[in-house]
Amino acid sequence: MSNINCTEFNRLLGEAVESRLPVDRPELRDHAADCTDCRAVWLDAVLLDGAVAQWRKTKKTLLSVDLADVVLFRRTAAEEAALSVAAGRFATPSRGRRSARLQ
Amino acid sequence: VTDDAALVQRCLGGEEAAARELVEQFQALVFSLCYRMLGQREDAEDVAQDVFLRTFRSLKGWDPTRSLKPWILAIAANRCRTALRQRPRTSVGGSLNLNQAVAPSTGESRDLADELETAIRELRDDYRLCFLLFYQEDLSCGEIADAMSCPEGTVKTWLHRARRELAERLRRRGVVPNVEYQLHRI
Repeated sequence: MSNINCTEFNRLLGEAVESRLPVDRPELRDHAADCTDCRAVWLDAVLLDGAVAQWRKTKKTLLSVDLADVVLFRRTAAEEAALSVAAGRFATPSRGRRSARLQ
Repeated sequence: VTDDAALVQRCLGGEEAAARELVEQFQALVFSLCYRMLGQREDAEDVAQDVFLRTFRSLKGWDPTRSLKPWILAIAANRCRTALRQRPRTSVGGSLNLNQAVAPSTGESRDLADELETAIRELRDDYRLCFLLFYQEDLSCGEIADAMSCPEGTVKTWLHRARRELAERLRRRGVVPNVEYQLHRI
């Protein structure tokens, strides 16, 4: 006989998921045995925990990717472009003055 | 000084080796998230590069009392959401070829993992991002809330809805728990 009601079952199940604890725990299992609605929820949770465990083992991290060279290249290019723009801004007033003189 | 803080200090000091180290330390995490969110390797590589460029531009604003990983993943999450908003509405799974992109595995575990991988692709964007940050990147609900700029309660709701939808999809595809559960006592 289960010692918890449906509300308590849902609270404990939520806590287990959010804390990454197994959902196959005696208090949850016992309530699921007695309650048809909660049994369906619990079996889904057990099913998903099993699938996630396999997924994490086999697919969590993708094969290697090497971004370092291209990122560092793009970073340097962006810094050089920024310097170039800054230099252009610095030069702009004198060009303006020269244009004014020419007029 | 934490390892993260020391690395950031070296990056801010202009040490190229440190910048390379930072990219190499986090590129697999960032790329995996981008790839599963965007579904195409080329897009994922482009966005992952942008993530690191933004990371370097924003390093001065990083709080050294916090871990670097969730901070970088928050940038990645934002870039993925932006990329998804900017692209025409298509299925993420359209051209995803995981056989080319994931580590090989064998047997039944591969089958179950494949089924879940397929189901994850069909989740709506917010649920998928939330699920991946929790189960792939191991962020807490609080860290995910920071990364997604939403309340922690919303993250918990999305996480539970994602789990429920995934379980439903697995069941519809004939996947059942592979353990006998003795629910009815004699």
